[in-house]
Amino acid sequence: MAIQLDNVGKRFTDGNSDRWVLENLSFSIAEAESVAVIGPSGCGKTTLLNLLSGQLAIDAGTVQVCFPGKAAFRLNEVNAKDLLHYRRSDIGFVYQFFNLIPTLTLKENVLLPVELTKRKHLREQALSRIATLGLNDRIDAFPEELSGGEQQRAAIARALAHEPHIIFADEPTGNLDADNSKIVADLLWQEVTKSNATLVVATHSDAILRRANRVIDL
Amino acid sequence: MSSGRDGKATPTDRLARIATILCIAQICLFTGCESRNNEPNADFGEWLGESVNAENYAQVDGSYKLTFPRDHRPHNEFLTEWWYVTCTLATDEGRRFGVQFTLFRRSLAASIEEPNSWRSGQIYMAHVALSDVKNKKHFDFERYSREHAELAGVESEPFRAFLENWSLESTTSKFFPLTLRIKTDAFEVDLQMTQTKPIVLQGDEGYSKKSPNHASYYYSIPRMASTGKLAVGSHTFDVSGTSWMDREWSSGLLGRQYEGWYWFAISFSDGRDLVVFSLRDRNTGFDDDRVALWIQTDGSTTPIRKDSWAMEPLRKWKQWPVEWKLSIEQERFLVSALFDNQEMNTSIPYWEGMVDVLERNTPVGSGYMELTGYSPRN
Amino acid sequence: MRDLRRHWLVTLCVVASLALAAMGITVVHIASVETVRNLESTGIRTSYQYVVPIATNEEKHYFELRRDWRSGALPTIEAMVPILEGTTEAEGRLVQVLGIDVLADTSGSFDDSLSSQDTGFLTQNTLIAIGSDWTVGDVVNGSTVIASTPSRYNLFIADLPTAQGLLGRPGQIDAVWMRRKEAEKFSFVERIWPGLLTGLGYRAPPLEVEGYQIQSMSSWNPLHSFSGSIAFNLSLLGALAILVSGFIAYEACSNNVRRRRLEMDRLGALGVDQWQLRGTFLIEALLIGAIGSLLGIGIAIAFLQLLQLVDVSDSFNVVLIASFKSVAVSIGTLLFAIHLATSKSNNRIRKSIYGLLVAICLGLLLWGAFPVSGLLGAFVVMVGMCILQVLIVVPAFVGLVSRIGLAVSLTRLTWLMVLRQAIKQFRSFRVPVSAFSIAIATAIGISLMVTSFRTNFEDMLDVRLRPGLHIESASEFDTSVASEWEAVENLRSYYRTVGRLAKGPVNLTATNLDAWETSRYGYDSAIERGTMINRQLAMQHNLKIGDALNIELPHNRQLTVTVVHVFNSYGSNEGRAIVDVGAIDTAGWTRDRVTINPIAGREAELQQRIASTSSNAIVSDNSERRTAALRVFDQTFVLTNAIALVAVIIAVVGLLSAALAMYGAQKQEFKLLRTVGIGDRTLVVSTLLQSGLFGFLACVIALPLGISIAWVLCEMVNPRAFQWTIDLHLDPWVVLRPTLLAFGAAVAACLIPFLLQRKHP
Repeated sequence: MAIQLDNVGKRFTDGNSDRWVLENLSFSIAEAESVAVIGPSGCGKTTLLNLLSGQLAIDAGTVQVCFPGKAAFRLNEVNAKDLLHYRRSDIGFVYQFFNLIPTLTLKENVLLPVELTKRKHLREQALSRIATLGLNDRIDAFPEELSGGEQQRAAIARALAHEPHIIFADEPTGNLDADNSKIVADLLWQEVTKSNATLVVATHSDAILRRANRVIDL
Repeated sequence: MSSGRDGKATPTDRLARIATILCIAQICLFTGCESRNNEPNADFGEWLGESVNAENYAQVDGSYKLTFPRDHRPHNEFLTEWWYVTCTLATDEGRRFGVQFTLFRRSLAASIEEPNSWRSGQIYMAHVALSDVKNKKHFDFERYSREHAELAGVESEPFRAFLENWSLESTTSKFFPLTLRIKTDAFEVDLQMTQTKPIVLQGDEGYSKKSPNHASYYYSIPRMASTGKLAVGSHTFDVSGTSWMDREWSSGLLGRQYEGWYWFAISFSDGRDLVVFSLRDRNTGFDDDRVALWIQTDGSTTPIRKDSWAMEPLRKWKQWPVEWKLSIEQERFLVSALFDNQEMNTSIPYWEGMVDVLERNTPVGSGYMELTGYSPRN
Repeated sequence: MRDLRRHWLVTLCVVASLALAAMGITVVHIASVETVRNLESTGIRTSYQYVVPIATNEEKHYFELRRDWRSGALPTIEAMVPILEGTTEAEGRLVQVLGIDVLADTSGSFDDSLSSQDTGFLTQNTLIAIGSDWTVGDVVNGSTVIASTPSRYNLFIADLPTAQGLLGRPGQIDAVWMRRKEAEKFSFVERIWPGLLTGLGYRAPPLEVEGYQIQSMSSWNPLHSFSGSIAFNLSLLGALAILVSGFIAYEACSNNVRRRRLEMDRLGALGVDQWQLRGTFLIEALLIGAIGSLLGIGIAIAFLQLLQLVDVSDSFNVVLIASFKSVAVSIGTLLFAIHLATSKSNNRIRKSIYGLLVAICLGLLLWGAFPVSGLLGAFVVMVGMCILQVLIVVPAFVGLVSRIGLAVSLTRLTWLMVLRQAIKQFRSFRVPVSAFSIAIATAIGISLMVTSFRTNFEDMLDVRLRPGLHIESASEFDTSVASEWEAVENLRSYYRTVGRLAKGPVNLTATNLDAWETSRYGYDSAIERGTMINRQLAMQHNLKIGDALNIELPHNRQLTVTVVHVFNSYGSNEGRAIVDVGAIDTAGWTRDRVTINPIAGREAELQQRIASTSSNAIVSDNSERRTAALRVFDQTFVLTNAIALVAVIIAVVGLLSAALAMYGAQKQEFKLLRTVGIGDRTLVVSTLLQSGLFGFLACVIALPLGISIAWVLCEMVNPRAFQWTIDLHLDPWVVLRPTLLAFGAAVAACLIPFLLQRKHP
C-alpha cells in the first residue's frame, strides 16, 4: 500500500460559511498502481491531489503514506521538516499549466529536483530522459521559448528526475491539443512505468483513462 | 500699492491705507470721520459722524460775511472745502457732453509740526468725469495729493485750483474768465467760462443750515457761458454750453442721522436757474431743511417754500433714482438722467451726471444731478 | 472601485505617495512665502519695478518727471513716488531710513483698523519702525514711532518731509520709484509660485525716456532676488519630489491597467467603448488623487501649525493657494499617468517620442550650462539629468546587469535561480528603480551640498570670527576709555554707512585694514587706498580686482577706491565693501560695532565692564556667535533636508507599491517552489538576496547622479542664485548615510510582500 485515505475531508471558508469540497473520502492506492481520478468540474480533483501531495492541510480523516523500507506516516501528523522532505524527495508533480520555473532553462528545471534531493547520481539519468522525451535540442531554452507540449514534457522529466515514489499529475493534457495530448500521455505512462512509480492522475482524457489501472470517480 | 507676496499687511499696505482713508474722507467733505463704515457703498451719513476735533477749527456760525474775490480762496481754518464745477455742453451739431470737476480740500490737523513745502497739513482729492451722451459712456477718475506748490492746492492771486494737470484757473488777474483744463487717459477738456449771472449766496447770505446743529458757507455761480474743446479718444470736438460752480466749506456739515443727499442744479431755457437739494434722514428718507431756490434771469433769488415743492423718485437704476417728478407749486417737471450709468466709481461711489428737464414732454432745461449715500439695500 | 478595495495595500501606497507629494508641495509653498516675508524688510520696493536715480538730489527733477508722466510721456507707468534714503543712528546702531510721499501713489483699499494716530504720519515727525527693537511711542532723534513691525532688519519708514528732517537733507530726494501698469499680473504669478520670476530672471522691460536714466529695481533690491532665489530653490527641490511621485503614480497606474487588461479586453469585446473603459481609470484616479492630496495637505498644515511656522487663520490665502497647487499637481500627475498607461501607441511612435525627449534633454542641459541661462538654467540642468537618468542611464544599467547576470554560471541551481529572479525583478521594476535612484540621488546631492556649504561656512567663520568679544549698538561706547583698560589687549572700531553705486546700493564698512584685519577676508597684507568687496557686489556690478568704485556717500560726499580683493560672504546677497578708515571722513558714518581681544582669562570681567558702561551695547563672545551662526545655518537647511527625505520616502512607498503589485504573481511562484521542494529558509534567503541586490544596484545607479546633483547645486545653483561659491567636498560618510538608509528601506519594501504571502499561503 502506498497511500491510504480514511474519511478524508477538506473544507474551504467562503465568506462566513464553510464549504466541504471533499467529505468522507476513503480509498487506498497500491504501490506502482496508476489511478485516474475523475469527476465533474469543481468536485475536488485538484484539491485531492494537493492534499495527497502535502500542499494543503487535511481537515478531516487521515492520509497514511507508506514507502518500501520506510515507516508509514500520516500526512496530517508529520512536522514541517518531514513534510518538506516528503514533497521534495518522495513525490513529483505534473501540473496542467506546466509551471516550469521561468528563470531556469529546460535542463536546469529538470535537474533542480536532483540538486534539491542531493541525488547527484541521478543526474545522467535525468539528462538522458530529456533526450528520450525528444527535448535535447531545447535544453538551453527558457520556458517562455518552449511550446506547450515541450513544456509539459519537460515537466514530466522534472517530476521524475529524482525518482520519486509517487507522481501526481493534475490534468497533464488539459492545456494541450489532441496530438500533443496523446504524445504526453504516452510519454507519461512510459516513464512512470519505467520508474515503477505510483501514479495518481486527475483527468478528463480518455487516453489516460484507458491506461489507468483504476478509476476513482469523485 | 501691492501688498506683500502673501497678501499679509506690510508697511506698504499701512501707508496706502493711511493715504486712502484720509482722502476718502474728502468725499465726506464734512465733519472729521471718527466713525467709519468701510463698506465701499457706505452712506455718507455713516461716514460723517460728528467730528471730535472740529472744535479746533473755525465754526460756521453765520457771523462771517462772504466777499469776492477774497472767498474764492481756500479757507484752511475750516476742516473741509470744495470747488465744484459741472458743465452741460454740446457741439454745433447737437452732440451733447457733460463734464464734472471737483477739487476737495481736507485739513489733517489743526496744528502741524514743522510745516514746510511738503507738510502744510492740507490734502487734496480731485474727481473728474465726462459723460458722452451719444455713446452713453461715462469716464471718471480720482486722484489724491498733499498740498504742494508743484502738486496740488488752491492759489488766490491769480485764482488757481489744481491737482497736477487738472485745473480750474483764472486767465487774468481777475477771477473771470476761468479756464478748466483736464487731461486723462480717456478724455481731455479745455474750456473757458465767463460769468453771466451774479454769485448766488445760498441760505442766509451764504450761511447754509443743513440741520439744527450743522451748516456751511455756500455760494454758487450759475450759468457760466462756456466754450472750448473736448477730446474723447482720438476725436476732438468744439463745444459750448453752460457751467455751474458750487463752493462750500465747513467744519461740521452733517449729523449722524443723515445718510446722504440729492442735489440738482438746472438751467431752464427761459433763463431761470434752479437749485434743489435735500439731505436724507436714514430713517424717514427726507429732511425738513430741504432747499429749493429759483435764480431769476436778473440773478435775483426766490426761495421756494418747503411745502410748495416736492421731488418724487420715479425710476431707479441700481440703487440710484435716475428719474424724478419735480413739482413746484403748479408746475410739474420730469427730471431724467440723459443716460443711467453716470455713476462715479470712486473710493465712495456716488452718482453725478447730466439730466434733462421736461414739462409736458417738452424739454425745458438741463443740468446736473448729484446723488449720494444710496446704498444697494435702498 | 472593487479592484481598488481588493488591492487595498497597493491603493494605499499610491495614496501615500501622492499624499507625501502633496505634503511636500504645501510645505514648500508655505515655507517659501514665509521665507520671503521674513527676509524682506518691507514690501514697498517690490511694488515698484523702476528706479530713476536723481543725481543732483533736486526735487524739481521729480516734479518735471511727474509732469511729463501726466502729459503722456510714460504711458506704461501706473504710479510714481519720490524717495529719500539714508541712515541714522538710533540707540547706538545704524538704522536705514526710507522717506516716501505716500500720497503720491494711493491705490490701496479700506482698512478699518485706522486710528486718528495715522494722520500724525503726515502732520507730525513720526515713523513706522521695522525691526524688533522698537515699540510704538519710542522717540528716535525727535521722531515718534507710531507703528512697528518685527523684522531681522532695522528700517524706519517716514513721510518724505520727516525723512528730510531726520537725515538733515531738506528739499532733497534721491530717486523716483515707478510702477508699471499690469504689474499685478506678475504678482499673481508670484502668489502661485513664489520665486518663479526670480528663477526666470524676469526683469521689467527696459524703459527709455529722453533725459532720464531709468533702471530696473532688481539691482536696487538685492533682498528681493535673495528671497526669491531661496523660494525658487525650495520649489526646485519640491519639484524633484513631485517627479519621483509622478513615476510612482505612473508605475501604479501601469500595474493597475495591466492587471485589469483581460477584464478591459473582455468588456471591449462586449461593446464597451474605449473612453468608457478609460473613464473607469480616470474616475479612480480622481478619487485617489483627491484623497491623497487632501490627506497630504492636512498633514502639512498640521505639521506647520504644530511647529508654529504658520498661522492658518492669518495666512489663509497662502494656505489656500498651496492646497490648490497640491490638488492640481497630484490629480494632474495621476491623470497624466493614466493617460500614458492606457494609451495604445505603436513602437515606432514610442521610439520617436523617446528620441525627441532625449534630444530635448540634451539641448536643455547644454543651454543650462551657460551662466546666462540663470537660475532657471540650473534648474533645467538638474531636471534634465534626472530625466536622462530615467531614459538612458537606468535602462542601460539594467541591460548591463541583465547581460552580466545571465552570463554568470553557478553550479548550485538554487542560487542561479535566485540570481536570475533578482535580475528579472530588477528589470521589471525599471520605473520604480528610476524613481528610487532619483530620490536617493536628490538626498545624496542635497546632503553633499549642505555639508560642503557647512564646511565652507565653518572655514569662513573660523577666519572671520577670531576669539574675542563683539559689541553691537556701540555708537555710545567710548572706545578711547576702553582702550586704556588693563583687560583689553586689542580694540577695533567699525564704521558703517550705506552708499550708492551707479546701479545699486552698497553696504560700507570702514576700519583699520591692517594685515590682521585683511587676513580675516583672505587677503594677506594691509590696505590703505583700496577696498575689499564681497562676491555678491562683484557679480551684481560686474566688478573685478583692479576696477575703480565711485561711491556716493550721504551728505553729497564721494569716495573712489580700487578693488584689491574679493571675499566670500554668506547669509544675504547684499553688496558689501570694506575700506580703510584712514581713507574716509568718518563724519556721517556710524561707528556701531567694536571688537575687543581681551587678555586671556579676563573675558567675563570685560563683558561686565562694557555692559555697565553702555546700556545699549550688546556684547557677545565670538565663539558664541560662531555657535549661533552654525545653529542658524542648520535650521536654515532643515526644510531642504526634509524635502530630500520626503523624496526618498515617496520612492520607498513606490517600491512597496510595485512589490505589492507583484504579490499575486509571487504568491503563485512561491507555491510552485514549495511544491518542487524548496524550503522556507531558502525562500527567505532568496528574497533577502533579491531585495538586497535590488537595493544595492539601485543605490549604485543613484551615486553618479547624486554627485552630479551636488555639483550642480554647488557650482551652478548657488552662484546664480546668491552669488555664493561653494567648494564641493566629497565626504564618503555623507554619501553613505542616505544611501544606507535608502538601501535598508528598499530591502524592507521588497520583503513585505514576501512576509504577507507567508501569512496567506
